[in-house]
Amino acid sequence: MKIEDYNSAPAKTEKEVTVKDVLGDKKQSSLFGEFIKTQPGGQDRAERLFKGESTTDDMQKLAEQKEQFFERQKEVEKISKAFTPEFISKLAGQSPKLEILVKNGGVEGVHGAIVSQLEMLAMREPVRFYTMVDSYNEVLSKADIANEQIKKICELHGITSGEYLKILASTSDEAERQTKLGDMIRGNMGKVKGMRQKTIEKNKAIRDQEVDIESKDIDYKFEIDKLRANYDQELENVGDVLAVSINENASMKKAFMDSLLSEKAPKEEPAGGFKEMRGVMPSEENMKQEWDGQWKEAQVKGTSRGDFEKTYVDGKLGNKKGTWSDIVRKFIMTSVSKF
Amino acid sequence: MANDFSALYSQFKEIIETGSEDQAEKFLAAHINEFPEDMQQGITLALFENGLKEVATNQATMQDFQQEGINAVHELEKGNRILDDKLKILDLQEKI
Repeated sequence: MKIEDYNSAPAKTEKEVTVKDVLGDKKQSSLFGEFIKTQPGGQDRAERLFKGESTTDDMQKLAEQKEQFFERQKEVEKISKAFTPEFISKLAGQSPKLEILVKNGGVEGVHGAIVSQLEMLAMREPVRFYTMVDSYNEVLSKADIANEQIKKICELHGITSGEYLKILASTSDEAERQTKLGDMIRGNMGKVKGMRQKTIEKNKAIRDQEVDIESKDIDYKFEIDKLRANYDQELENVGDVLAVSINENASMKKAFMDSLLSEKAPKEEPAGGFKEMRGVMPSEENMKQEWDGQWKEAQVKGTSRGDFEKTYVDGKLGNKKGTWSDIVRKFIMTSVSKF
Repeated sequence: MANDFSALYSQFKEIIETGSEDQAEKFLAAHINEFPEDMQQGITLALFENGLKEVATNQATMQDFQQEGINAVHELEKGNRILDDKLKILDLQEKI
């Protein structure tokens, strides 16, 4: 937030900026209005404020909320700086859909769209904003640490994922590669699950077993060699699939992620999610007919076009929030703006 | 523009009713430049938001798997050390 935007000379410190100052700035006032609507009792308070009917209690509450509003703005500023064109490009490399978006919209265009709208999103839908912040932190965290550990394991044990590389080299048919790689990856992924626990138990049993050199029934060295060979084989299987997880080859990356995610439980649909939008979008033809009828009535009552558009679209989506609700709202809003 | 948008509207409605979230996102990303300017901005933010969330979730799944694998490797390495020790004990016992 820029304190100097408040047209005060000298610039006020954040503490000195009053609610009146905030409301006197068009952009800040609009953002603050959206912010307070999300606070308990905020919808009514915002209405009283913009009608000039605020109570003393309202003003006291607004003064407190002003501080939280500034805090939110600082968080927006911080994350806006993190969403650089470089970060967006990197992310697009990990998401085919974002890759299409960046290809068509250009990385600078995508960056501009994000930065220009993030502040309003943060004020209007804080849950979505903080989910983005959490996701960003998740993307940044720990990934490189695991990759470094895997590289060391591969170096130490001479692991090269040879069998996987042979598949890559054996065919240039991508579908065939994906099938063969996927089969092998899933097989070895299955071996990784629960292996640590099984090995802990086996190790304990081996450690606790007394070696009786005089025993005529057991050839201990032979048994140990057998176990050793078995452990080496398991280590190679796990190491191979770990090496695949850090392989930069596009076919390998795709096969690995597809295999990994195929076993994941489907995520729960959030409120305002994709499926919740079914039945919400009327055909434009039906909408036009409905609109014409309702708009005539609204005009008789003296409702402005802007207010009617908002009421009409709200009627289609209710209080649904979330990404898909937002997108569908834009489609309906753009459509009715032509009527 | 009006007719173009109507075609996009119909196609998108069809995907919403019968398609998948993935299809809808790919459709929006592929046609991003054909939407009116203010829609482009909103759709871009929403697609970025979904993409970021997806990459973060995938990465967390990947890290869980990698960690499980790394822990298994460490336990197998430990097992090999235990076996080596047992062999050494056997060798010593044979020499005595």
